[in-house]
Amino acid sequence: MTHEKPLILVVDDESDALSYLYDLLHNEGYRVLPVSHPFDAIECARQKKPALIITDVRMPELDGIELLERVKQIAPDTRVVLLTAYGDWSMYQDVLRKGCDGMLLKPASNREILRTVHQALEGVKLC
Amino acid sequence: MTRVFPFLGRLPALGDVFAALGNSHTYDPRRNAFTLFGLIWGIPISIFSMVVDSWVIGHPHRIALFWEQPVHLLFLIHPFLFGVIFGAMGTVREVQDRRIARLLKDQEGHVAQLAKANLDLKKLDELKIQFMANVTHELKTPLVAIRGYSESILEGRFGPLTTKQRDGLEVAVRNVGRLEKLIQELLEFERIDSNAYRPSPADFDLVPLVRLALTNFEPTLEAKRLRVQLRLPERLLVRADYEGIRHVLLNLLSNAVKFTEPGSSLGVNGQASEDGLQALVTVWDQGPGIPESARRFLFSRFWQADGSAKRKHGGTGLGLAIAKGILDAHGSTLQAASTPGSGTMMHFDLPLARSSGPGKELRHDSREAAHSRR
Repeated sequence: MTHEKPLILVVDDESDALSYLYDLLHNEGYRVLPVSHPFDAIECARQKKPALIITDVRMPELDGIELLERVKQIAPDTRVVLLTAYGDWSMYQDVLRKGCDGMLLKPASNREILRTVHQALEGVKLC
Repeated sequence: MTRVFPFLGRLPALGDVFAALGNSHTYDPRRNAFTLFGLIWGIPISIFSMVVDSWVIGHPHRIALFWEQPVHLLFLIHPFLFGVIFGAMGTVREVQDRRIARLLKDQEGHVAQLAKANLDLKKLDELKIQFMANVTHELKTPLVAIRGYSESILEGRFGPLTTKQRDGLEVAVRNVGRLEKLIQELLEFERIDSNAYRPSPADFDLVPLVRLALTNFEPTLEAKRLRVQLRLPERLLVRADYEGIRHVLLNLLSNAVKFTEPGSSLGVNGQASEDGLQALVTVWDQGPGIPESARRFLFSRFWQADGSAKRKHGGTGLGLAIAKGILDAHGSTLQAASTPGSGTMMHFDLPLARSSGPGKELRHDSREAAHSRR
């Protein structure tokens, strides 16, 4: 058991949203790795085995749901939280079945994001 | 005429027959067949005339009879006469059939056109849904950074703030929330309008949901010194789509809160129906009411009682249309009763959960849970 803060991978093709998430989580003391391309995220997941991945859903080439599925194959222990402006809660049941550990609708508040991150890291699935 | 002799309507018009007689230069297999038919039919007549001749006159047929008594010629030309008449009839039939075939073909063309138009409309509808999803996505995306950074600064993550800076940022964050709500409302309305909304019914208690919905309006209730009166039983178990009904209550309460003058009352009444099958819910207010002339537009999309530039109240004008759409999808209806000047009552019913037992018990628990704010 290390005392090091868990590593969080943040994936979003929107650079502003990405830098915001980086700032927020970094400020909270987490080790944060921002990635703007989903394929880089898969590579990072393979090499660094992060504790948590927060990913956007709608991205070019590979969407967040596919990313979720691939990450769950490569690193089953890595938790995945979807952060999306696309769709609504009706897709939640579907992604839950695919192993998703939490979902946030954009624009989520700081409090919601931090709570979901905290719960996902603790292994509490949101219902 | 055709009323008295209906078969006349089926006969070709005389003009058609003459036109067909003149129409000899086109190749017309039907006319040829009919002509042959007429010729064959005409032959027995001339034979018959010769037989009658022989029998009456008593001697065998002589060629000389044809010029001695020319009436015999008339009998002889019968095959040709029949041939011509039948041929004309054949042509008329052919022309009529062609006309019918053309009409049928035209009609088929129209049906195909309609089918194509329908397909185009469906495609357009899909495009519209996709477009709305894209637009809301694009509208929400910039809000992430705006809201996030504003909140982070407000929380002091980037250093201390002066009171003025804090006040300004609070306004910004509040307005992001407002914009987000607006986008959500448009998306929700689109979902209902395009029949994509399907309620997923579950049993739940309506009473805590009403109280939860009211908490959203607490700051406004406080600021406008509005009294809230709840007449609800202890439990009111219904079978409906929780999220949908929450939305309905939020929209109805939002209107009630918005339009009630400061210091007045609004409230929610709920009870089980006499037969124990329905939960009857009424959201009422003491606002200005709805003018008679405006009632029929009440549930129309984008409609507002005061749509002028100087209007006092904001909003998209979608709230009631959304609420009605959700209730319609539940097989229920939203009804409005209003007295101009003294308030509005919005009423709807929902099926009671089967596990909730007889309605009488629920009614028995009914008590006034009125509480006033200040």
